[in-house]
Amino acid sequence: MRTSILSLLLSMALLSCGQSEARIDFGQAECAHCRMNVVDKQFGAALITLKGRQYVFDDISCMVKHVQAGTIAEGQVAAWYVCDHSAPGTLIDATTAFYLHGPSFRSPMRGDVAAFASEEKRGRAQVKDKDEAMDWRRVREFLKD
Amino acid sequence: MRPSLLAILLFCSANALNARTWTYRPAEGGTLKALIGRVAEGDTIVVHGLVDEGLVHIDKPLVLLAGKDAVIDGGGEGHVLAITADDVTVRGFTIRGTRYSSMDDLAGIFVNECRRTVIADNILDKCFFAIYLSGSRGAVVENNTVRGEPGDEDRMANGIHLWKCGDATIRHNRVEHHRDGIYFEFVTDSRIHHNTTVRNTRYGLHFMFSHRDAYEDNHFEDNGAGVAVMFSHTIEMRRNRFIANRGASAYGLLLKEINDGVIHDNLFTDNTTGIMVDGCNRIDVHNNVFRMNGWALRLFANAFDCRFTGNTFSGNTFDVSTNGSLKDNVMEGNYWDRYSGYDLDRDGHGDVPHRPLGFFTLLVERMPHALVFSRSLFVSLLDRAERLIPSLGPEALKDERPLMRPPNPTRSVTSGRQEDHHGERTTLPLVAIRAGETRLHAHG
Repeated sequence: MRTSILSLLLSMALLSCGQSEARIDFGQAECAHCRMNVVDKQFGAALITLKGRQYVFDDISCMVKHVQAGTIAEGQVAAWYVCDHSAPGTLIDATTAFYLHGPSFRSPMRGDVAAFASEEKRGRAQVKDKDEAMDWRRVREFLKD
Repeated sequence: MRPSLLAILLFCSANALNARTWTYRPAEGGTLKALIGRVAEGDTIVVHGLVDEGLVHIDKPLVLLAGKDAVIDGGGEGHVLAITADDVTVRGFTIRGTRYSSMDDLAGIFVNECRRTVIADNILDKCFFAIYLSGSRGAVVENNTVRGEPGDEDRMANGIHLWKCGDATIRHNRVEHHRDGIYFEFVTDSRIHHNTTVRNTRYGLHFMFSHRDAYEDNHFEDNGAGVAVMFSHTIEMRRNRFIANRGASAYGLLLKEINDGVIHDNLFTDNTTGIMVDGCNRIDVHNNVFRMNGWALRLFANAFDCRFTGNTFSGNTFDVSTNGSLKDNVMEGNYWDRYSGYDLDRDGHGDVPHRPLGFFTLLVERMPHALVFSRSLFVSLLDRAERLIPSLGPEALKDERPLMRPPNPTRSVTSGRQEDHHGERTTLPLVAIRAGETRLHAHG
């Protein structure tokens, strides 16, 4: 009995130490890169460092540029998140997301790259031929200064 | 030469005389669309009653006036009123019924590639975007009431939105409950004055990549943050009131990557941060009043050639804060209620310099949690010690000629609010600090 309570407490303590899921308080959070108030649920982004600290951004371009500027070392990033453009406010893994860049998308800081959870969702959103499909690697190259 | 001019004048006046006025009543049959198709350029249509026929498209120079109970309801299809011709005037309507869309920028009044559009005296009721001008020049937007739906900010875009426009005038409007009250993106040579924007989710007024614009005599209160001027140059900001912008990322005025701006005769009161200066060059901050803010001025070390003169700082929890050593900026001839020196030669300026950056301010900048000790005896002792033997603050950050009395703020700034210059400090800054604290926690 006692051991089970102990193990329960221990596991709770361990769980609380681990990385938590990213979360954005829309309307409250400030973009770590451009200082703008984060309100657009279609373009928000976040990352969590190995130490478990969370940074929030109002635009995927802000996240990419913030890391590129060296404020956070690339190696310190434990997880990258972006908002699913077709499900506003839902954070998805940035590294496996499907991206579109083009005139249909006007993001707060003019990165104009939208993320989608699946290829099918992306296909539905692609309205103009000018929208370019990208993967995470291409997005990061593209958004570099 | 002269006869030809006369002929032109005659022709013009004849044209004006030929312009007809039509009356449209939905009850009498026919659609407004059909009537617009029929009338000649330059004609006037007076609309009475409810127009409920989907998108109304104005594609020729026209004056659209509201008669009795004139409402245009888009029925949730898309834009409500779309204007794609020069010299169109829309006056006095209630406009409602846009569709919400995550992909399209749909608006109550959508203006595309037009010149000299006039949008006046309308009520834009719960539209997604309310007034949206794209690629237009010489537009006048005045006396409109723009109101979104409180509590539904998710589905609300900007109130008055300008994209790639020039020579626009936005005046005497009231905007509330939108994302940004007024938003300028790639807008040049335009003026925004005498507007009231309150309770908007993000900013009362927002500039992005816009140059040579001015905003004057506006009132910004209780927005997510007051005004953000970003990546723009040569913006003039005069006689505005920035009031009660409190909370997580709230500033009265956020300046980010701004060159050559002037900030004169404004009032900043009850904000978590009055002005935040980040990455700016050649900003002239003159004759403003900073009263009862958490931080009056947060100046990042990446500011160069900025001037702060003739301002009044009173009742702020922190007057000036910075994150590094400041160079090449001038801070002179301001009034500081904290200044404790004397003026023995009676020239109106204190005899010893004032150092607005207290020890505790520096401490809080480095360790936000130290805010807990605000107003404790120990901290005030430390501050006093630092004042006697300055050692920590940046040498450049001092006012060599502090004013003994507040300079006269312009009347327009303080009108409408009874304020006491020498009044006791109230508890308001603490409230502001609490808000600031959460912000610092979030990032600290």
